[in-house]
Amino acid sequence: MSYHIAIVEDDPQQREHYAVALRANGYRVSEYANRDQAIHGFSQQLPDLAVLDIILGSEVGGGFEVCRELKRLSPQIPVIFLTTRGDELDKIYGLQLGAWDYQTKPVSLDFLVTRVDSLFKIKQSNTSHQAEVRVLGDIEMNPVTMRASWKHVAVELTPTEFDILAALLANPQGASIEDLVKATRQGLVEDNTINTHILHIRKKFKKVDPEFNCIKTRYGFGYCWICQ
Amino acid sequence: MGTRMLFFSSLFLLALPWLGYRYIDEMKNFLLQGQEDAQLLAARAVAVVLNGRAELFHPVDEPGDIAIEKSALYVYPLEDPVEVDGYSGDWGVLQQQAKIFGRESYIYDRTGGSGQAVTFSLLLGEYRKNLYALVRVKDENIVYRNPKYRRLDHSDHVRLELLTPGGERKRIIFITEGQGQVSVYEMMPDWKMPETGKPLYAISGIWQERTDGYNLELRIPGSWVGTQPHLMFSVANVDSTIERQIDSIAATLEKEHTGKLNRLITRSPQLDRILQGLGSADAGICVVDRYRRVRGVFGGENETALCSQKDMVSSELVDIALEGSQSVLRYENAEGESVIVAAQPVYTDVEVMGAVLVEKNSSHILGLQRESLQKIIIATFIVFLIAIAGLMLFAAWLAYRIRKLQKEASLAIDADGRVVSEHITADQYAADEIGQLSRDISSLLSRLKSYTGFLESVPRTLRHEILNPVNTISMSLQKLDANIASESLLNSARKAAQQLEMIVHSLTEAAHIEDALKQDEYERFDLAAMVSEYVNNSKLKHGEGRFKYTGPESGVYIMGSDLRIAQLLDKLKDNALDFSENKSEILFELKQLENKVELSVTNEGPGIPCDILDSLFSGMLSSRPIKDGRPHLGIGLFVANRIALQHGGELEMTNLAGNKGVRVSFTLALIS
Repeated sequence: MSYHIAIVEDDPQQREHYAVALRANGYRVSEYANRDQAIHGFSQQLPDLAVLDIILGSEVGGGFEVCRELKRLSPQIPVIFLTTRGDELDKIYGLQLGAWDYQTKPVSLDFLVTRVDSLFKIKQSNTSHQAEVRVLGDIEMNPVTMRASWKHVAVELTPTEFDILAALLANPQGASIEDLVKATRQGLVEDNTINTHILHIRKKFKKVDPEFNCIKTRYGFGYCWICQ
Repeated sequence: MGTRMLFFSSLFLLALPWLGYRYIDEMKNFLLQGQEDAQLLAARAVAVVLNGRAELFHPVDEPGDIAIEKSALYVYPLEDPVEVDGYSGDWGVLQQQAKIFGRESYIYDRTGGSGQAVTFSLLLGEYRKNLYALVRVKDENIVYRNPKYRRLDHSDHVRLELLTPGGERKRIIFITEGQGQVSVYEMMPDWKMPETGKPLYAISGIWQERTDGYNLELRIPGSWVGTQPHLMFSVANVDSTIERQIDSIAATLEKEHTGKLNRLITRSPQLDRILQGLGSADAGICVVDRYRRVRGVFGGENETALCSQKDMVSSELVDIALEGSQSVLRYENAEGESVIVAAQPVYTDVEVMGAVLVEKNSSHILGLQRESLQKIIIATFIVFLIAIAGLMLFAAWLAYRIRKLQKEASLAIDADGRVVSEHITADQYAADEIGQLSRDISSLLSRLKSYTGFLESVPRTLRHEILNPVNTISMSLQKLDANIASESLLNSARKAAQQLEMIVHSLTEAAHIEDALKQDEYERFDLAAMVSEYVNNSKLKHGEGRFKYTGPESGVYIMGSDLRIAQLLDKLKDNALDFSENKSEILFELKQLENKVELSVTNEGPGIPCDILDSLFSGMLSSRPIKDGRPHLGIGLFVANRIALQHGGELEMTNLAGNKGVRVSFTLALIS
C-alpha cells in the first residue's frame, strides 16, 4: 500500500517538481493550489502526510490555517512546512506541532523525499525498527525512528533537531556552526537558525530534566556536548 | 522652560490681590492697635494730672451716704439759654435725660394708694450760673388756686426746698390761678401759709397746660443755690375742687430721708478747664466720678458719644477702670462708625476716685483701609491687564513661530514623500523648545534623507550583485542548450544559484534583525570569558597566527544576549578578515573603563576613505576588495551596529595612524 501525500503550494511549477519527485518514490500525491481547495480535498480523503507552503497566494499565513484544519480532522497526520524565512521557525514551534518538521526554500528535492520517508518511519516506530540504538551516557538515540530519550524518558524532537543533536554527539570536540548547518541538510541556513534550534533542543530537554545542562556554546565556533 | 515660567508667573499674579488684602488688613490692625495705645497713653496723661486732686470732683469730695449719692440730681450744662415759657421744646435732646418720679416717690398719700397716680419728671440745666428746671407733671385733673382761700395748700402746686449759700433753709411754692406766670412765695415750714404776703420775684416760672397735665419751667438765680447746691422738688396734687385737700405729694427724695435735701451734681468747671488744656481737637475726653457720673467733658459731640448729654456712663469699660485697671474698647456707634475708647482710673491717695475716658472715632482708619483696597484692586486689575496682554503677545509670538516652523516642515517633504530640504531654517538658533523642535526636525529630515538614499541605492546595488550569478546561470543554460553538458558547467550554475540565495538571505537578515533583536532574552554573562573563548575558537578555525586577544580572561559582566554578541563578533571578524593584509594579525581587545567596557577589533590593511566613515553602518555600502565569490552588500556592519545599539553601545570605526589599518570599537555598560 502506498502512502497518500497532500501538497499545498500556490506556485504551479514548484508544486509540479515536488509531486514528480514524490511520485517517483512511489507515493500517491494530491496537489492543491490554495486553502479552500486543500480543505475541500481533505474532506474527500485525508492524506497520510501533508507538505504545506506557509504563504498561499495572498494569504500570508495560509499554510498555518490549513494545518489547523488538518489537525482538527486528524491530529496524527505529520506535516512538513515549506518556509522562506528562518524567522518563521518560531511561528511553526508556536503551533506546538510535536514531531512535525519544516524545510527552508530552496528545497532540495532529494532531502524532501528522504525526510518524508523518515517521517513515515517515525509513524511506525512503535512497531518495528528497534535496532541500532546508540547510547552515549544518559542519552539514547535511534537514528532510524529519529527518537531520542534522556535518562530513559523520551524527548520529542523534530527530525531536523534530531539531526543537529546527532551531529553534536558525533564529535567530542563539538560541532562547528558549519557542521550543524550541513547536518540539517537544508539549503542555505543562517547561523541564527542553528542558534534557534539549539535553544529549542535545550528547552525540550529541560522539560524532561530541569537540571539538563549538557549543550555548551563555544563562541566563534559552534556548540559541544559536554556530558560524555 | 517657557511653559514652566508662564505657569509660575500666572500663579504669582493670582496671589497678588490676596497679598494686598492681607497687607491692608494687617496695616489696619496695626493702626488700630497704635491708636488704642495712643489713646491709653492720652488717658493716662489726663489721669496723672487728676490723680490726688479730689477737690476737682467737688462737690462730691468724699463718699457720703450711698442712698443720698444715688439720689443726687444731675445738672446738665446748657450750651444756649432756654426760654422760660413752659414749653419743653428748647431743651432739645436733653428731654430724654429727664428723671422720672412715680408713685414710689410719694412722701404723702391721703388716699392710701387708691387715688389716681400723679407723677412728674425733672430736668435741670445750668447756663451762666443760673439754674433752669423743667417740671413735667402728669395730672389728668388740674385744680388751680382759688383766691378766696388764704391758705396755699388748696390747689395743685410745686414745692422747692433749698439751702442757700448762707446755709439758710428756704421753702418756696409755685402756685397759679391759671396758665402763665406762676406766683412764687416763701413758705412757713408747714407749707400752709406764706412767710410774708409778698411774692418772690427773683425766681420766675411759667405754668403751661398739656393734654395730660402741666409743665412748670423755672429759672433760679445762681446766688440762691451757690456752688454746692442742695435742693428738693416736690409736687402736691389736689384732685377735688370741693374738698380742696392735698391727695398726694411726690418728691425727688424718698420718704425715709425726710428732712434732707437732694445733692445737685454739676460739671466741675475746674475739671472742664483742665481738660480743655489737656485735650486735643480730634479726641473726646470724659471724666466720670466713682458713681459713673459725668463730671467733665471735652471734645466735639461725635467724639464723646459715650458721655455727652448723659448724667451717667454705664459701661463695662468704666467698671474695669473704676476697679483700678486700664482698658480699651472698640464699638460701633449709632451711625455705624467704629469708635475706640480707652479708660484709665484716677486715684486719690489710696483709692479710685473716678476714671478718664478718651474716645476717638477710628472710622478714618477704616476709610483708609477701604481706600487702599480700592487702590489695590485697581492696581491688580491693571497688572492683570498688562500680564494678560503680555501672555497673549507671548502666545501669539509662539503661535507665529510654530506656524512658520510647521509651514517649512510641511514643505520639506514633497507629495511623493521625498525629502526636498533637510535643513529647517525657522528658529534654528533659538534656545527654547521650539528651537529644539526645529533642530530635531532638521536632524530627523537628514536621517530620513540618508535612509531614502539607502533605499534608492538598494536596487542599484542589487542589480549589480544579482546580475552576476544570473549571468552565470544563463550562460550555463545556453551551453546546456547546445548540448555541451559538462560537470563544471552544472557546478558553476549551482554556485551562481547559491550566490543568489545568499543575497536574499542577507537581505532578509537585515530586514528582520530589528524584530529578532527585540525578542531576545537578556541575561548577565561574562563578556571577557566569552571574547577570550571566541578568539581561541577562531584560532582553531582560521589558524593560530591570525588572532590575538588582550584583556582580562574573565570577570567582566554585562547584560545582554551572548549569542547576539557572538554574532556581532562574527560580523566584525568577517570584516577584519576581508580588509586585512594577507596573514596579518587581527587584534581583539577588551578594556575596562570605570563602569564601562570597550571592545575593539583592529586589523592591519588599507584605511577607509574618510568620506564614507560615517555612513558605513547604514547598510548597502561596501568598499571591500573582491576576494572571493561572496556577494558584498555591506550588510554585515549594518547588522553588527544594530546589535551594538540594542545593547546600548554604538560601533565606531577609525583609521589607524598612517592609514595602516582600521579599528572598530564599541562600549557597553558594566553591571556589578
